[in-house]
Order: sequence, then C-alpha cells, then structure tokens
Amino acid sequence: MAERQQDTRHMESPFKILRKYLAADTEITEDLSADAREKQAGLDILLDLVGQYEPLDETHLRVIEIQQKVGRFPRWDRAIYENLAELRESVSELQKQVNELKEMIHERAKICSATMYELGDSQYELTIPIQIVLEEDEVETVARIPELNIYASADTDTEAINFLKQEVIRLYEELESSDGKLGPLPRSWRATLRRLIVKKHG
Amino acid sequence: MRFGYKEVINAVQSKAPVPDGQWRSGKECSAPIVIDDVQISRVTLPKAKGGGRDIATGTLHSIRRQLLLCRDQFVDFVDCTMTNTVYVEKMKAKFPDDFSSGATENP
Repeated sequence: MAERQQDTRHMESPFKILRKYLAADTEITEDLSADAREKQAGLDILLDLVGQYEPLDETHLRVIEIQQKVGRFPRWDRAIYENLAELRESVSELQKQVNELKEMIHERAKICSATMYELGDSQYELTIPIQIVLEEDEVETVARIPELNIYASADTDTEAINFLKQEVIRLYEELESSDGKLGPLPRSWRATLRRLIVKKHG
Repeated sequence: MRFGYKEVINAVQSKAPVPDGQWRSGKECSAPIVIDDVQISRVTLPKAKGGGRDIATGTLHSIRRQLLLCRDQFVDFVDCTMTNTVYVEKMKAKFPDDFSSGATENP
C-alpha cells in the first residue's frame, strides 16, 4: 500500500495528463454543429470531474481496503439487530421479574421466634415453655404455634401472644371435652397439649 | 394472594364442614372441621373489618394452613371453584386411613 502511494507521487497523474490534453484540444468556436456541442458538453463534464479529483491518501485507501474485506463476510448487521431485539426482550422480562420480586419482598412479613412461658390463666400451667413464631407485616402481627396449627393476630406482638395463649387454652379444652372421633392431626395436638399443660384442680 | 374479610369468611363458613352450632366466638371465632364424624382440623376466623379491607397476608396464610390447603387450592376454595364436596373429597384423600374403613376410635 505504501509502495503504491510512493509510486503515484513520482508519476504524473493520468487526470493531469487528461486535463492538459483536453485544455489543448478544446478551442471554443462560434459555430458548433449539434454533434460538436454534444461533444463539448461531455468534455465540460469530464473537465469538471478532473477538477474535483484528489488522490486518495493512506487513510482513505485503508478504509476502502477494510470496507472491501468486510464486504466479503456475510451480513452481520442483520444478525446483530436480531440479537439485540432478543436481548431487549429478555431484559424487559427480567425487569418485570425484578419488580415482582421487589413487591414480594416489600409484602413479606418479618419472621422471628419467641417463647411462651405461661398461659396467663391461673387454672393452667405450662410444664415447659412453648416456642412460637411471630410474623410481622405492615398491617398486623400474627403469633402462631406451627405444631398445634393455631394462630392469633393483633396490632402488636404482645397482644398477638396474649390472644394466642387464650387460643391454646381453648384448643386444649375443646380437645379434652371432645366426644367425637379425632383425626390424626387433632390427636397429635391433644398429645402435645397433654405434655405441655397441667390443669390445676381446686 | 389477596382476599377480603367477607370473601374468606363466607367461603369458610359455607364450604368447610363445620357441625351446626360449633362456631365459638371470642376475639376470633373458631370451629372444628369434621368429616364423617371425624375431626380433621380446626379453623379460626378473624372478626371482619369494615370497608371491604383485605385480610392481612399472615392471617390469610394461617387460615389456609388450618384448612390444610396449599396456596392454589386455597385460591380455588375462596374463588368458589372448589365446592364443599370437592373440599371434603380432598381431605378424605389426605387422610385415607381415617376414611377408608372407619375412623380411629377416640382413645
């Protein structure tokens, strides 16, 4: 490429030669035939083009070379646009999922555990403390005992725990006084409650 | 999953098999769920709050657990798709030993 550029510097440009030739050959005459006028117009255009000619420098030649090389490859631009469209779709789907997750996290209750040491009723005593689960969300607190499948809800933790104590006693009394048949879950609740609660007599 | 107080309370009171006169009122009202004279669970409902408010998520899930239903089944239960009969069948399928040849006697 550099050699070619160097050679063209020492040689006279073919356009320069043509320009000289045309300038010498085109003497304006008053009376021109139609054919000569047409020839003259063609020569004018040619002169115009020659005037505009500028030899390509190294950078332009390099650009042309790259364009030619790229032109030999398949059309990548279409594939790129298609992939971009797919990517845009995936990103949009991900954005949707992220928003849903944000909403879920926002709605998700704060969960912690607590211990119930007594039932708040002089008639009943706990043999061992009961582990309870507290779920606090924006609206209320739910206290529950998963093993007994009971819960109580209130505005605050303390109230929820107090209501849950009443719920434990109610479940105990219901199961102890039940004269019907008990399924596997109520049977297991009763067994657990019998271990946990002692009813004081008198 | 969001439901109003009335929706859930109506669904439970009309579909859960609770024997007549068994709803006990307190701060919340509760009742045993009994199928073929066998108590399979117990459900507690909060007192309805006015203004068509939704039940808080924690309470809603607690009711769902007491009804022994998964999330999708609970949605069907409240949305009226699951009838009382379907609910009873599902519970019987959950405890086949208790409903195949008679429930275990109360010890």
